[in-house]
Amino acid sequence: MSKRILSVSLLILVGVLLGQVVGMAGGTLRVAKTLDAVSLDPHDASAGPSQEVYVNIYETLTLITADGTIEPWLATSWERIDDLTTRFYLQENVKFHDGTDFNAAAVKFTIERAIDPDNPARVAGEIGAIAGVEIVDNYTVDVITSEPVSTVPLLAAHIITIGMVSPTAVEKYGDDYGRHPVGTGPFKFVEWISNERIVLERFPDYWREPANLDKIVYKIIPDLQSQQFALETGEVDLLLDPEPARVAAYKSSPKFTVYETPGLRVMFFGFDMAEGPTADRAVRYGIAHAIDANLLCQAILEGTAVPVNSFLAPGYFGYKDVDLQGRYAYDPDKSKEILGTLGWEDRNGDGLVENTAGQTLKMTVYAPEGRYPKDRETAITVQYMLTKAGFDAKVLIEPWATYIASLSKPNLANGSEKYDMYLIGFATSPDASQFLNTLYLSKMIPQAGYGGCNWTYCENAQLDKLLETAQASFDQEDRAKLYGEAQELLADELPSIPYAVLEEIVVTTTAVKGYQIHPLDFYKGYFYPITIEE
Amino acid sequence: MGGYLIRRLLWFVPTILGIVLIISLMLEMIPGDPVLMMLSETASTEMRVAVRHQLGLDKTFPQRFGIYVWRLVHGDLGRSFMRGERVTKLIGKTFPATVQLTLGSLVFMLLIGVPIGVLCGLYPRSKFDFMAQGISLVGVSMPAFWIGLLLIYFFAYLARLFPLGGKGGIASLILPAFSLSLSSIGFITRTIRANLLEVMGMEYVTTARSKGLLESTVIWKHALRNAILPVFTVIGLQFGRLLGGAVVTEVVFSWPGMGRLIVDAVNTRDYPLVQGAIVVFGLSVLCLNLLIDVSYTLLDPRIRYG
Repeated sequence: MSKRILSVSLLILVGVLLGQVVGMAGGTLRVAKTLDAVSLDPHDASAGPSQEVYVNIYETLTLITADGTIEPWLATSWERIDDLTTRFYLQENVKFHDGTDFNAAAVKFTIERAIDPDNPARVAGEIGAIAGVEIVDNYTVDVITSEPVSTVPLLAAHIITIGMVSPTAVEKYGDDYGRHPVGTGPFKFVEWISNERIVLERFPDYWREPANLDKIVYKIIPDLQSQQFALETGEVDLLLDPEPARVAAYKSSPKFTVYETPGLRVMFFGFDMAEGPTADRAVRYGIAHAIDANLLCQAILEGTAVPVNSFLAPGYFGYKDVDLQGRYAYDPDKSKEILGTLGWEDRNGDGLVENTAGQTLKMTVYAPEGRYPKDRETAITVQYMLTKAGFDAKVLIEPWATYIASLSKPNLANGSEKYDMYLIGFATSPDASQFLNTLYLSKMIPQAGYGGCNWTYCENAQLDKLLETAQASFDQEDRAKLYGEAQELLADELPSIPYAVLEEIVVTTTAVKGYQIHPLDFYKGYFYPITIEE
Repeated sequence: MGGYLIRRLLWFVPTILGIVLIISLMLEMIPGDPVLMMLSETASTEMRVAVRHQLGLDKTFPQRFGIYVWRLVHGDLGRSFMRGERVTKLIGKTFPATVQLTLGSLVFMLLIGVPIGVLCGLYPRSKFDFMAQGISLVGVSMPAFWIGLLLIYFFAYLARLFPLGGKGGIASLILPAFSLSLSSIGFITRTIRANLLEVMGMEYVTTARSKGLLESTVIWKHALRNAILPVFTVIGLQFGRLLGGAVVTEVVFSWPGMGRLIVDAVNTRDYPLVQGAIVVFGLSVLCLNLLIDVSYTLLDPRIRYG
């Protein structure tokens, strides 16, 4: 009797389980994430840990594909009306997750919220020249810029500022909107428990085919070793930040798939061009020859980065190969030779160069800790490389918060007691304009109050002219040519020496299918195409 | 007793104000700028100035401190710079996880530490005593992340007895609580052992024995009751220490506790969150100490507060 009850209940149990399996055809994607998001309001959080989550919630007017082309998205097409106006025709029948209609009013609301410094928006600088939006009709808008800007369709893909937020939801939640995000994307927000997990679920009324996945669960697992355990025991399906040292092992295992692509983040050392030894271009050449970029990429970054031949990564529009690796090939003897012509020679046989007065060539390498992959290790290795070429190099490493505040302080570079070269990684929208303008335009030199990012204090009228002409030109061929010239000029002037482009890497179990890696770092968190095999 | 309580509670006010002042000054002095932490590297100068104003950082330190205290008096801890969420809400969601972990590790400390301490105290210099002393030394000396990873590797990864990390049911609490308790176990074992040794040599124990009482009665009724009192002091100390969060344990076990929240807040110069967390810690430690002081009067009739 009891046996029969047992078998009957077993049957019921199996039936229930089967029913569940059939019901969950799409399945749940469990993602390991090192850092918690900061806010899910795109206008409030521009950092990667937030972006890689909300890229599934929000959509932009245009889309940058993995190969760098710009495609229609919430806008079906666009045209340039005049130098300051670009007209966007919007997709109809799109709804926000809360049922609000997506239309011209929503576009105007979103963009004007993003550029209004009185709103929570902390991102207005991100789209600089966009000054406002005018509604033409319910599904047509004009985006107005304050000066001629050729990159408006590219800017329209900028999720931080253009990620469309539901006006009704923003009004409803006020200051708490960042915890109740509402967009038009394939997944809608369910819950967020700080430092624990974020849950999204499929949006059934999505304007395209609804997503395959039922749910995405982000588990915040700060320790990389614990992430590895979680992947191997099947507690998570995907690692957004795999440990570089373990990528090779994942590649050789049949249980996992590794997706990788060169990204857009360029790692470089900037020089203090205002004062100290690095103010002399020849010394900068000497340093460039002393740094072995291949070794840094292979040994320090463990193959998760590649050396780069220009100041931009190849993924940017306007990139030109100016043969940096050939021009400044690793050659410590060449460094010594250059220093010799400047009067720096090893006079006492200790391996370091001295001038006639017997002083060594002192050099401080400044680096942050824990901000970029292997930042600290890279700085220490470069210090050693410089010493081998005869420099009396020391290294100064500080936590990121202290570091970025020091860099941004005006005239600090003039006090060369702090540093002569600094390590930083830079990534922007994949177009040369924002990248090169921010770093090398003379008007971006840090000013009192708050400065720009020209931390090399590079001041070159010819470069300014090239960059400004390119920014205002609408002829893409012309722009490419101008940016090419700018990179040639930079290679000659050498305000900085790039050593690597970081790869974007994601590891999944083999059950995860359809994933596509993207060179824009936060797009690696876009999970719409994914299916999970049972 | 009532007057004593009121006086103690009144002291809370200047203590908390002092704590807030000190932490605010410290935040003011460390280099770094919340505005730069919030904006991306490419943000414009205008943006930075606007955000600085939005956060009220363009006011002088005394002004900002005054505003903070005024809000604090009204129960408002402000909003986190980085996360935009109310500090009270953030802490309200995180603090319970920390309390849970703390209580869990105290349970392990008492369950394992007290019996070992008693045995060591009763049989000093025995084989068991030497072994226990040795093991507790190892426990105290091993770094927390190493113990954590070992526990995860053997009990969660290989044996699959427990979840790998994260906060779930009671099972998810066991490994982190145990790993956190190891250092306190050594501490409490030594405290009890030393106390018991001292008490066993006291005259009233000799008296009890000479009355012909059973050895077990002597130990349980006379010696232990007196030797156990310092355990409460240790509990109080450990509780206060652990409430501050156990960053390393929290990181290894993906435990969403206060330690990670605060380290994060300090690293991003999130002033309101740091200040708020310190206020909450301060208050809990004050309450805890009061509770323990009061409980002494119940445990030991010789202690009286007037």
